[in-house]
Amino acid sequence: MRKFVFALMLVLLFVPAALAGKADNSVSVRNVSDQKTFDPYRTTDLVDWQTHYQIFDSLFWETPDGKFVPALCTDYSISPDGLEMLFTIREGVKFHNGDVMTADDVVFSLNTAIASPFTSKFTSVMKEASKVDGKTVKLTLKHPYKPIIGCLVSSSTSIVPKKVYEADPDGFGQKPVGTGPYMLKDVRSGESITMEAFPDYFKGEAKVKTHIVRVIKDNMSALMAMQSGTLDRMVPNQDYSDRQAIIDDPNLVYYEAPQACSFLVAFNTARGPFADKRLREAVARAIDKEELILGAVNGMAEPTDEGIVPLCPQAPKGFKGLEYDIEKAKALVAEAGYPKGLTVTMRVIGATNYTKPAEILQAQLRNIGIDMKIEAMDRARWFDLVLNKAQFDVTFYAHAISVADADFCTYPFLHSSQLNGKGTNYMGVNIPELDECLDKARSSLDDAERNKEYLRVCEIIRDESLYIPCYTGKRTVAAVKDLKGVFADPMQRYYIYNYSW
Amino acid sequence: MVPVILGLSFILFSIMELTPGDPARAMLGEYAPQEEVEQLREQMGLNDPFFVRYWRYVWNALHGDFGVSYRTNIPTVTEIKNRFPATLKIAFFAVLIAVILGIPVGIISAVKQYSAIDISSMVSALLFTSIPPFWLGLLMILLFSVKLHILPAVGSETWKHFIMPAIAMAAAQMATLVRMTRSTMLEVIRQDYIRTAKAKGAAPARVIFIHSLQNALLPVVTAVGISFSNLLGGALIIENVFGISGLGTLMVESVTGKDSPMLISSVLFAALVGGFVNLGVDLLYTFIDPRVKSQYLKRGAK
Repeated sequence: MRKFVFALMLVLLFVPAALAGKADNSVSVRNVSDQKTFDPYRTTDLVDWQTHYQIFDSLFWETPDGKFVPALCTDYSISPDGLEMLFTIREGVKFHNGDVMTADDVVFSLNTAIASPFTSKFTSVMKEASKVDGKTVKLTLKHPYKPIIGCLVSSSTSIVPKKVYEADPDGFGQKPVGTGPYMLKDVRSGESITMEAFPDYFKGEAKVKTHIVRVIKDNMSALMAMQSGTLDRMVPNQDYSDRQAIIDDPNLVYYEAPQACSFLVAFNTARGPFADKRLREAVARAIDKEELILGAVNGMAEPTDEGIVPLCPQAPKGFKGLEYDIEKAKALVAEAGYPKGLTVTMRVIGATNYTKPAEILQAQLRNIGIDMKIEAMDRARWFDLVLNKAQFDVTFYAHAISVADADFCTYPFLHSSQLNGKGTNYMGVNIPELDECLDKARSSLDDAERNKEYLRVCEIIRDESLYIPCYTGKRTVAAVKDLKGVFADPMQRYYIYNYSW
Repeated sequence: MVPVILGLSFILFSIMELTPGDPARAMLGEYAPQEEVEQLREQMGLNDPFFVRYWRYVWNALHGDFGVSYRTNIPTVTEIKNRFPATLKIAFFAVLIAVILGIPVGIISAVKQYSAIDISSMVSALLFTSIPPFWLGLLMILLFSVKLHILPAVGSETWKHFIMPAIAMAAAQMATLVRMTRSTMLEVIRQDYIRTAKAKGAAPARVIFIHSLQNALLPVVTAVGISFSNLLGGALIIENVFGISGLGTLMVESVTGKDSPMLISSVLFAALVGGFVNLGVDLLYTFIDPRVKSQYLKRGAK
């Protein structure tokens, strides 16, 4: 009897821990690293952005089907020359501290974002914001820029209350005030963040009342936390090793979306053996992409031939790369002056999504007499050596985009103005015709013209074998079955406001 | 302790200097233009010569300012204050479990040498030393959280969250303690004075706990002290598995983020704590070891 009572007490004691988010209308999600700051203008980290999307709003919002719709503005217009934008500010929007958002707040926020070095990915094209009248804000651009709305969706251009931010710019990162659907309630440094629904949210209070972000570094324990009900949503392993376990679990759902990046073999086209175009072409003709995908990511990717991330609307459909041809590749190697083959080094970031494909490529290139050594290194060291100093022969890397537009995956990597540390043209590409196409495509507002230019860009990338696009993977999300409104997003952006039980 | 801290800070500073990667670049992200990185470097004072920066750090530290984290912009001391309680709790409970279970099992094993209890405890000790703590942790999550739903899988909000991490941490320490207690006890039991005690008719309990244990405990106390100070330095893997943020994760995050102020402060703090624990152990000796006690007394008399 005593034993039984003891057992009963034990059970009663522990039961509440097993309740999932559904019971108390909360949603817990996993992050792989801790939140650095809540200041939207002082971070470049995706993990930080994901929380900012819950606390702040920007001028625009992304709908689940990927369209950009006005959020903190109600209407906007772009001048015919594409250099000026006018925004009508939404009225009656309240910040978490109860203040009403004004045009001054919007001007201040945009100008703070423009001045910050952290946000340049989205704001480098913006010149300044100014107030036209009480409800209109003007944004001036340095040159016409088609993907500008995508930049204004980003959390890096979030709107903050001027008064609060100005009073303590350094403290804002710990005590954020936004207009977003959730207010920051509690931070357990490096462990969890708790947010509560903002009752005065301009679109109406969120259905999910509490939002918790947990930092769990270990993939296994994150998955088990999902299965035990502590966690409601997570991004699974990048190498898709836990995919089957999630699909097989009746309580979990596995969501997939295309990845906003292309994995590719990139050459140093300015120095070293691959400055010779024939050798680059030989590599391009020696890569069996299907085999590569199978070996590197368990087949969980789509082969790509175009030099632009396929997700971009400008990516040419049905574009064909150079044909796989071992004999021709061998001949090209010999023609380039290496009849007995040669030894090169591939420098890659020491993570499985780069080292695994590197190993497959190593085997494939052996077929044409190229003995490729793999040098895997720390991420920081790779960026220093390869991206900043261009000290490499060949590498395997992913060109990622933050806005679904071809400009993001071409201009910074290929334009000659981005050479020598000014940007990320680490491959040393300097082709006047390419520059011309990129400039035209960047400043044109006409979709047809841009598509034409980007097709030419893809052709040059292929014909010169500047880099070899290999595949694009999948963005995945796992969530508990009863949680509604979840989907995988290529940019890994999500709004808990869309979620409900 | 002062030279240790000074030397350590210098070594850490040099390591962070010599390892590749730029803090400004780490903050601004991979695609930031070099000009902006340069600008931030200037702002952060990273372009000053090495010794100037080191001296600035020491000077500020002497005035109680241990710097602000590059990554989070939060004072390093505040961050350590936030993270240390979790580490302290895990370490404390782990050592507590190890001591409470390890020492008695060790004593029983020694007293009943070669019995079934002895053999089974030795085998399980071997097993526990060999099991990697993270694996034990994962197995426990699988059993207690996923299957039985009686313990929370991750986090550190309540005392329940600490049960599994503490046990996972304790397992190896406990096994060490069992083996150590057993071997030192066996050594002591064979001593002449134990035979004398038994011969003069002292009760078995008195022989074990007063005559043997007191003498056998000395190396055990040292071992407990060492493992406690090790655990206080943070347990990265266990913290990762159980989603707890302690000193271990903080240090690794600082290394990968090139966050020198945070790393130096947290390592210095761990060193300081380790130093104090060792001091505590030394002081404890005076209570349990009459030889040490008499040494102090003699010196005092001179």
